[in-house]
Order: sequence, then structure tokens, then C-alpha cells
Amino acid sequence: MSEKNEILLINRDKGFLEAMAEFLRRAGFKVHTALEMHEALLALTFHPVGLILCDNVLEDVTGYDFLRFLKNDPLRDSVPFVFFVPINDQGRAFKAFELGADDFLVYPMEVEDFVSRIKEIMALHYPAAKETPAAESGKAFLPPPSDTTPPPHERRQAKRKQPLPNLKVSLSRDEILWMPGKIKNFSRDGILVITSLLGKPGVSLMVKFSLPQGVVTIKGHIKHVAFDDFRQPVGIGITFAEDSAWHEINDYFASLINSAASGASKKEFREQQTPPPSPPPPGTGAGKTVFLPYEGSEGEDLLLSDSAQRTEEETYESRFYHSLVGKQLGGYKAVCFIGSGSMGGVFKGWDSALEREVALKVISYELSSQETFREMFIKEARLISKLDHSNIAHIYSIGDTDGILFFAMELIAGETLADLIIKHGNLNTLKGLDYLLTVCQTLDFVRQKNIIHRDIKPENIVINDKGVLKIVDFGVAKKIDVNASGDVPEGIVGSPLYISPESISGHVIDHRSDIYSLGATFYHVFTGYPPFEGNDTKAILLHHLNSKSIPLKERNPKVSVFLSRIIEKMMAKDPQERYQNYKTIVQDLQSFRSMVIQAKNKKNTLLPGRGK
Amino acid sequence: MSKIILYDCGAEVAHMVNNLFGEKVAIQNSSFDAQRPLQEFSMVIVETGSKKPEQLLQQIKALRYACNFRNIPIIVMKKKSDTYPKHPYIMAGATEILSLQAPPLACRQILQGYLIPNRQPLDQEMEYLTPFINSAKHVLKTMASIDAEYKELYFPNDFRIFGDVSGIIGLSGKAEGTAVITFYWDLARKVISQMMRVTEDQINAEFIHDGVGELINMISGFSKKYFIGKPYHFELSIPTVVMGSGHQIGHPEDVSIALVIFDVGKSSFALQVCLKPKIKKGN
Amino acid sequence: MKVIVVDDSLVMRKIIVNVVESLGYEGAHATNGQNLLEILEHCGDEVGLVLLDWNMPGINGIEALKTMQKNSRLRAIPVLMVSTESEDVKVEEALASGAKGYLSKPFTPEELATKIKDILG
Repeated sequence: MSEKNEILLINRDKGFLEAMAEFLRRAGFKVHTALEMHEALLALTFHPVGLILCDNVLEDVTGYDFLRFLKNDPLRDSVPFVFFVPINDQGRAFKAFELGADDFLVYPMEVEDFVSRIKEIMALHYPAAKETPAAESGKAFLPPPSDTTPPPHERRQAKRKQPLPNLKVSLSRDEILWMPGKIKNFSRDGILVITSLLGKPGVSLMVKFSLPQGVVTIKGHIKHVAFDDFRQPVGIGITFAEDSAWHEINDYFASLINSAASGASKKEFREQQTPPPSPPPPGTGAGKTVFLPYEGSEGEDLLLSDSAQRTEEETYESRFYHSLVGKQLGGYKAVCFIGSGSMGGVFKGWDSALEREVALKVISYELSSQETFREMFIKEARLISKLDHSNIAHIYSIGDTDGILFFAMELIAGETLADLIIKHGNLNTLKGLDYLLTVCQTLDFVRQKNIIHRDIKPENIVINDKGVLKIVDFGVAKKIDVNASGDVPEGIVGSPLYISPESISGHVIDHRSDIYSLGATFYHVFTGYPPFEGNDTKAILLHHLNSKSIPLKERNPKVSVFLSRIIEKMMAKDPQERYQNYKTIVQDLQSFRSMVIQAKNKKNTLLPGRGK
Repeated sequence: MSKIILYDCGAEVAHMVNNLFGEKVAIQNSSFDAQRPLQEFSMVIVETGSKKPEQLLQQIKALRYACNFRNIPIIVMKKKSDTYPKHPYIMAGATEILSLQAPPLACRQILQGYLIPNRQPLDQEMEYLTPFINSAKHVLKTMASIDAEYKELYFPNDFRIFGDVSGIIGLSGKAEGTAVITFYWDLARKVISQMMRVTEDQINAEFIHDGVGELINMISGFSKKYFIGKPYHFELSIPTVVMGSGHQIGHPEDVSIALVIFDVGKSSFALQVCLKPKIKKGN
Repeated sequence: MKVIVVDDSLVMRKIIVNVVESLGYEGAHATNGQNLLEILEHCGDEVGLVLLDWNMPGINGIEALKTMQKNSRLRAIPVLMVSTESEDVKVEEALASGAKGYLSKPFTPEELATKIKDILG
């Protein structure tokens, strides 16, 4: 009989061995069996074996030793060698491939599948051969070894120990969905990971490791997938290219094994070496990358974690906004959540009647439950809706659905000054200057209506996709009662990085407070740094009250002294020493602007002359 | 009128819910019943403390199954002394975990938020959802001779998947997004076996995983050609298959996620789609 | 005569082989382009038709097709592309690269059988 039809099956579990041999015989193969290397070598001597199917541990040696032996034997090194190992003790697939194994199969697997794989392997190696007779394949799953004889793996574990760092990794096929995985073992070529993310052999995937020196993401390929019960995570063998990133990781793993072996208790070792998957930093594509904890693991779900930075109150607010996604609020549809503002959550909305996009601002549960606020909210919305100016986001209407207050306003798609600072470092350009001029002119218009904004900051100044500047979030704006002698401040309003000293100290504020905040905002815009930094809000507030800001020129040497002077005057601690109105700021800015333009033109006319 | 069902809730929770909503909603308190269909309810509330967390988790899983992909919030009310973490409940299928200590106003607004009726899709959303819906029906019909009926769609507030096995495909190019198909085991097994023309008992783990990946690949691929020349045109990545419930999938920001429910006989499966043109239409 | 079914999906291979065998041909499997080229190297002479998927890990369908066209021995073997890609540009690319036919997924068994019969006559 042709060698293409003869299989040598080696397994030290006799009952299992016989059962498997029978399946293969029924499928039309001639099968020889062996319990140990010695018997296997005899079979190889006497029969034209076309395929070796071998367990990873034999009675006398390991499967790897046997394979290594064969590969050094010029007469037998070409016989295809396939590992066939139990799921609960798969050993080291990579070592197997490194040594020259042709495949790595894991049981239990379905008889039909098993037989067809064997046929595939045979067809690959002996392509001219006729297909073996159709298998009378059983329909049942192959029995795991425990069904035939007692499972041998306890015995094995005593014999040899597999490195098991139990480190957590994150896996992704597309870098959109990241799934957790636990490393079961590793070799020079790659890792075996237990995960719920599935893939086929050959496909590439990204693996994210948390190392002491930081998070490292490298690309690997799926070498094999070990399916067991389909309701359980699977074992996936992943190989990596020989490069420095993988070497570094491999070395680190090896050092873990060594340190574990040299006395460190396993518990300490794990605690020390399994940093939780690091959350994506907020604002940097946080919506795109989500880490997932294993079911029942101690990992925290980022979206739900009560992180230290967030107070419980804030999470109630954000959870409240979350509940409204995909809902119908009066005549508006809440399409998706954009973010939280000072007074409420903002959604991209759709006005069903007028068929246009709107921004829906839903008022925080805390504010909306106060009767006095509800009254004020309606008044304010009316007031702000009167601010008809092309550089101010318009308010369209207000609504109340089952006690949920909201208003609909102009939706502005674009980038805030905060976005632009992140993108460009700073905006010490003519464009930046023009933005400041536009804001001053707009706030002057607002001031004439006796309204102050009270929360001027880079985030509240948006450049829409047509390039038009819009001031948003008049939410905390308050009408000043020109007749009242003492306006009682109602707690600090504004963002700590840009807040005026008089707001902090609780004094009566007027438009000059906005001038301070605007100065602080453009300090940030022109230099790339906020005027004051500190470890906490309190430290920053104290700076606003007492410290002189670092001169703009020291932050960014390219900022003109004229411009520095304007910004510094806007930011004087004493409102009396600031510009007293926007008109004078605009005048100073415009004369500075002409200087810039002139200098620019000179440069341009001079330049061509230089070369000649 | 909205109907809320409380399962095995004590007097404290019942009292609280009554206080928050009074006459505005119909509140029914009953003992846990995994078999009971939940379609008629707008919300399910369970509480911790009276049973072991593991038991409650199993019950939440069963309730999520009973919802059959419908948008029915499952709210877990935690007893004051309960320190058991939140995320296992979320992974099991809970929508929100509130503490009895939480400010009543916050609870009221959050629960009220979930009770507000779902919105209908916008015309421009249907522009890209319709091809996906037709495509899903077509793929099941041609490949498995299965009639899938489009039942309803809504916009969930996150991209968690609740089912047994899901095929996920990333869409990129002129438009970016994600498409996910989610099955329970029984229907997945039925669909794959009919595709392969084998009996259901021959379907093993590998077939299910492979087949679900192929399904989402074909559904997205077949939808794709309707978008030629439109801002929704995309390229496909290689599908990912995951098993189990509670996974959160990343998706582009500032875009709605649609969940479409299809019925196949008495079973259902879900298709989640989000797609966002990279270039604004107006430009 | 052998018909080689090349697809990285196990389920898809089974679906296609069902149709191939119902037509009385012998179906053989390959899981990617590399795999196909290896098989053709050894037994290209017995192969009467290749049913080729486009998107596969490693050497993809279109690359394998182009490689076959460059080989004088393999050029004669007809190739039917069976792919999720269904846009005209892709179909044209495949036909221009030497495919004898194109069938986009999803398909009914009848559609596949017709395409195979069209090519094999």
C-alpha cells in the first residue's frame, strides 16, 4: 500500500489511542499505533508511514524530543509530523512549529472535522494521491481523553511545568474592538492567549501588552485556534515577527519566569506584574477604543467605573444624559450625545417639524428640580434668544418633557479654540488675532444688552466649518440688574483656568470679568499655555488672586510685545486697571494688526529684491 | 401608560418607585419569572440584597434573553450595604445600577429618561439602514433559505452586544463605522446548518464562529454596492467574531447607533449599524 | 476532474463543495492563495476549475489569479471568482486579470451551479 495512506498515531493514553485509530481506519487510512518513541521508531522502520500524529508527551520522552530526533534523521525528516494534543494540556505550539511540525491539532474536535483535516494535510503533502475513501464519520464530538481513560494531564503537570505568566493583554483585529486576553504560555515565537476574540489561522491582529515601561502594541498573526466548548473563550496561538519590540516583551516574560523561580511568591509576582489595562486618555479618541474586562474579572468597566476624578454627582448627571440617547424629547430627536456643559448635557438633535439639525441642551437633574431655577431658565432662554448676532449660537426654543428641561439651539459643527490649540500648539497668527477681535466685538454687542457671559474659555469659542467664529454656552450668562446696588454672587461660576479674581472672591462682577477671562483665554491661544497651572483647582484659583502670570514672551518668544501688553492689561487683577470697555481693546488690537500687516507687506516686497 | 415590572423587590424599592412616578406609570410587583415575555413592559426593576449576587446575575441574564434584543431597560437597585461591584451586572445585561442611597431626584430623572419613548429614525439614517436591512434579509434568504422579517429598530445608548455570538466588521473609507450581527446559539446553529446543508447536530463551534463572520461579511459587502457614489460608501475589514454578552464595541463619535431586530419564526437576531460619512454632505 | 474551492471560510468551502459535488465533480479545498498555488504546482494537470475567493489572509485571490496567469502551465485552468466584492470595478479587475467568470456572494446554489456549468460547458 502507498505510504500516502499510512498514519502513525502516537499517544501514551492507550484507550484514547485505540479509539482514534479506529476513527482513522474507518475513514480509510491504515493506522499504526505507538505509546512511546521506541515503539514509534519501530513502526517507522517497518511501515511506509505517510503522516505522524503525535501527542506532546510520550511515555519515555516529550513529543518535541521525538520530533527533534526525527528532523535530525535524513531518512525520516520528510515525514509530515502533526501534533495532536488535548485542549487542557496543549503544551507549546510554537516550539512545535519551530522544530518543524506541520500542524498542531487540539482535541476534542469533531470526528468529521478531524478526518477532513487529516485528509487536507495528506492532500497537501501527496497531492497526486487519490482521495481516501469517504469517511463513515461519526457525528459525535471526539471523546476527550477522560472519556476513555483517566485524564493524563494531572500526571503531566507534575512532570513538567509550563510557564504561565497569566498576564492580561488586549487584542484587536481592527483596532476598533479591543478584547481582553490572558496569556497562557509563551515561546520565542509568540504567545498562547485565552480570549473571546476569534479569528482564523493566518489573519493578523494587534496585541497590546502592559509592560512596566508602558503599553506596547505589536502586530502578530494567528497561528492556530484551539476550539473547545463553543461557549467558552478559546486558546489562540499568536506568532510575532522577529523584531526588537517582541524581543523586549519576550525578555520581560523570561525575566518574570526567572524572578518567580528565584523565590518571589506567585501572588506577589502576579500583583506586581499585572497592571490593569490602561484606560485610553480622555479626549484622545476615547470613544474609539474600549477595553473590556473579562466577565467576572476584577477589571473595571471604564464607562461605569466610579473613577476618583469624577464625583458621584457628576456620574448621576452623565448617566441621566446617557438615558436620553435615542429618545424623542418633544419635537426633537436626541440623535447622539456630544458632551457635558456647565449647566447640562448637549446632544446632537433633530427638529422633526423644521427638519434641521439642532443642539439639544438638557438641563442637569439638579438644576431642573429647583423651582427657582426653572423660572430663571425660562427667563434666561428668552433673554439669550434675543441675542441676534452672527457670532453667537442662536437659541431656537425651550421644552419640558416629563420634567426634563431642555433647549434647542443652533448646532455648530467645527473646532473649538481648545481643539485648535491642541492641534497647532498655539495660534500666534493673524488668524488668532482676528479671532480675538471678533470675540471682543461680539462681547461688546452682548454687553450693550447688559448681559455678561461669565464662562469665556477656549472651549466656548467655536470656529464652524465655514470658518465663522461662534461664541457658545451662554448657559451661565446672567443679566446684570443695572439698577441694583449690590448683586449678590451665587457661588463661583466659570472655569478655573480662566476665571477672574473678582469671581473667585465673590465680588460683584460685570463685563470686565469677561474681559479678564478673555485675556486668559487668548493668553492660552497665543502661547499654548494657560496663564496659571497648578496641581488642583484651589492652587490655580490662588494664582488668579495673587500671582503675576509668566510674561507671554517667556512662554512663546514669538509673541509680540504689543500683543503681550494688551493681554496683560486685560488680565489685570484689579478690574479698574483693565480695559474698561471692549472698544478700547478693539482699537489697540486694530493698530497692532495694521503694524503686523505693514511688516508683512514690507517683507513681501523686499523678498524678491534680495535674490537679485 | 408605561408599565414597569418589579421582580422580587422589597417594600423599600416599591415605595421609592411609587413615590417617584405615582399615578403616571402602572407598577406591577411580582416574583421572578424567566419565561415571561417582557415586550409589554417599559422597564424591569430588580434589587440586590435579597439573593446572592451570582443568582441575581443569572436572573439578569435570563431577563436580557427574555427581552429578545428589545430596548427594555433592566434597572438594578442596590441596597445601602451592598458593596458588590457594578460591572458584572452590566455585563449580564443590566442597563443601570442605582443605589437606594442615591439622591431621589437623580433616580427619578434617570428612570424618567429611560421611560421616554424611543425616537423614530431620521430619513437620512434610513438612507444607509435600508440597504443593510434588505441585505440581511437577502443574505439569509439566498444562503440559508431562511426568511428573516424586519421587526423594528431603535437607537440604543451604547454599543454593547447582548447575545451568544456576534460577528463584527469595521467599515472604513469614505464613511466609517461598524456593523455587528448578534445571534443566540439556537438560531446561529440553525442558520449555519441550513447554509451548509447539514443537520444541526453536525454544527460545531468552529462552524458557528466561521459562519457568523461570513454572514456579517456578506451582509456588509452586499450593502456596500448600494452606496457607490454616495457619502456612505465604505470598504470592509476582515470580520471579528466574539462570543458572549456585555461587550462594548468602539464606534465613531457623534453618530447614532441603530439596532435592527429581525424575526426568524419565534427567534430573533439583531443587526447593529453605525455609519458616518467622513466628509460632510454640504461640502 | 477536480474543482478546487479556495476560501478561508470553512463554512463557505463546505457550501461551495456541496454544489460542486452535486454536479458530479470532485471538490478539493484550499484555504488561501498560497495553499492553492502549492496544490496547483503538484497536481495542476488534474484540475479542471478553480473557484476563488478574493479576500483571504496571506496571498489573496486576485494575487493568486495573477500568478496563475503568469504561469504557462496554469494559465489554461479556468477560474471563477466567488467573492463578497460585488462592485463593477472589482468584477472588471478580476475579468481583466484572467478570471473566466464572477459570482458575488451571497448566491443561491442554483446560481453557483449555473456559473460552473457555463464555464465547464
